[in-house]
Amino acid sequence: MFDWIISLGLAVTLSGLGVFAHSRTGTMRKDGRAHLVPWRGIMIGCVFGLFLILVHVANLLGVETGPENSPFGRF
Amino acid sequence: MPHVHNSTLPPRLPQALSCRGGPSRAQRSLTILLFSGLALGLFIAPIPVIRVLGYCLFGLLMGMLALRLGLAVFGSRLRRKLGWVRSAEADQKPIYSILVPLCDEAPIVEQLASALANLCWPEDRLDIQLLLEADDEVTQMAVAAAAFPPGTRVTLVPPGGPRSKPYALNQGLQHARGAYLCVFDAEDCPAPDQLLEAFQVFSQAPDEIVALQAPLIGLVEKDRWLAWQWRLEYSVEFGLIKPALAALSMRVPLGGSSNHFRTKTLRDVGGWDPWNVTEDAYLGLRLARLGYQVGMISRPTFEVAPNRFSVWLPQRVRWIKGYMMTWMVLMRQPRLLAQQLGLWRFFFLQLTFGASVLTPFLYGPASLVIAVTLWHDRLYLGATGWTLLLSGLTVALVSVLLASRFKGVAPWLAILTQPFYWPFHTIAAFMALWDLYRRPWYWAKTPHCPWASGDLSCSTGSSASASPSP
Repeated sequence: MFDWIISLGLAVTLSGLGVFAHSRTGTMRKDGRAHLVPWRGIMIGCVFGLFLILVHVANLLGVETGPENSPFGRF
Repeated sequence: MPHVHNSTLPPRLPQALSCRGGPSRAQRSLTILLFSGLALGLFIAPIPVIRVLGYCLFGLLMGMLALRLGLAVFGSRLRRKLGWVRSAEADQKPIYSILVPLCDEAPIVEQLASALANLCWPEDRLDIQLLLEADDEVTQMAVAAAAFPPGTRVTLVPPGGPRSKPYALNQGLQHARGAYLCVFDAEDCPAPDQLLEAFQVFSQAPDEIVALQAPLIGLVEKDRWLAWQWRLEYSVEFGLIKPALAALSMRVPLGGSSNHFRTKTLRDVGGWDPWNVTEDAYLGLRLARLGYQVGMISRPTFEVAPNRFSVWLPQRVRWIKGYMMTWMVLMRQPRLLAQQLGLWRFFFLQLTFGASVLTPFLYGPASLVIAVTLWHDRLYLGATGWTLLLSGLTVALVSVLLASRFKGVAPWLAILTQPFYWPFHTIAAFMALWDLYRRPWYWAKTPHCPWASGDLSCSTGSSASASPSP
């Protein structure tokens, strides 16, 4: 249960932050200057993190994803 | 009724620069050697060979993904700078030629006439040529009945060459009167001031910039999933990737239509290759080989996105076949190509244009592996597989998010289900390979229908990055 709360909580947080970063990407501040926060980078990080969480959620659902069992070796 | 005249055969492109000759002897020998060696290796030691292949492919694909992400981010940063302010120079207008190849396009002729009539350019300075096949009487009759701008000419394309768009375009190029020239497709609806922007950019740009590409925006009818996928692709390609390549002075494969040229240079380089089925992409790359550059403008052209698989598939088969042809011609003399482009641009070309040839073949098998293993509640991909999968999904999603701000359920459904669209490319890729072997110069004609959802919003002021409301 704890795993589910952490995973889904992270997924929601990353989604929310990603959507917020997306809305800020490419916009200007009210005073006309560029944002100091790298919103594009944050959005990219959120998307990547979200996919990692999705894999973890798949693990929690019972899907095995261990690379050590890959037919072509661990790497 | 437009004035009709017959054309004569235009001069041919040198054999070395044309697709007509097919792969060179060295390319054939190398391909046979490579596949024989691979088959032998797989027979003797399958696992090590697969591992080595996997590592090579991993490095290549990660390079492609990193580059694509870099171009998408750079392209999105450019967007604020891309824009157009009309200056006084735009008031001294030369003759502008417009070529529109038409084949079996009777249903869409009225829409085309209206789109061309909307262009902001003095009628007496506009040289519109409709390029019709000599035996296509239905389209000829439709053209005669439609209200094209005064001075529009019809050029009848004689038989004798491949029945292709570039063959028709070369006929038109012979008779073009303008200092500048633009190509539109039958289904195009260009923004009215596109010619003004192109002319202004040409006037201010250095002579090396000989071609300009306007962004193409797909219009989606009835929120069809396939049409949305097509539009998403276009928004990334024309909104991010091509502007980034142009800004970095890299080679830009011209796309589809709405290409603007300095007419004299286009004639000097021999026009289009009539034997190449993606003549636009090849022309952009050929210009780069000769030291010229392609730029981007911001005023878009709208066209209706294909919404049926039966329309999408032949078009995609032609595109992938054309990319394969183009890559083959370019790589006939790889050392010469590297000398002409420079080593850095040569590798850039391999990672960007090479990707459009290679990746369609990989989507299907990769999806199949994932589907089969998931069916057994396992997804054993190895560290490389996982890295590729997550990086690929991230780059695809980020690119689309950076390309535009889509609103509504249908576009978001399309964005989130993109991975289900990619395997269709593999079907098209293998069909293209077969086509390349059986009928390399066959031009699969994409059927076009008029925009059924009311008036085409040609005059919307949106750029490639914006979301017009279709």
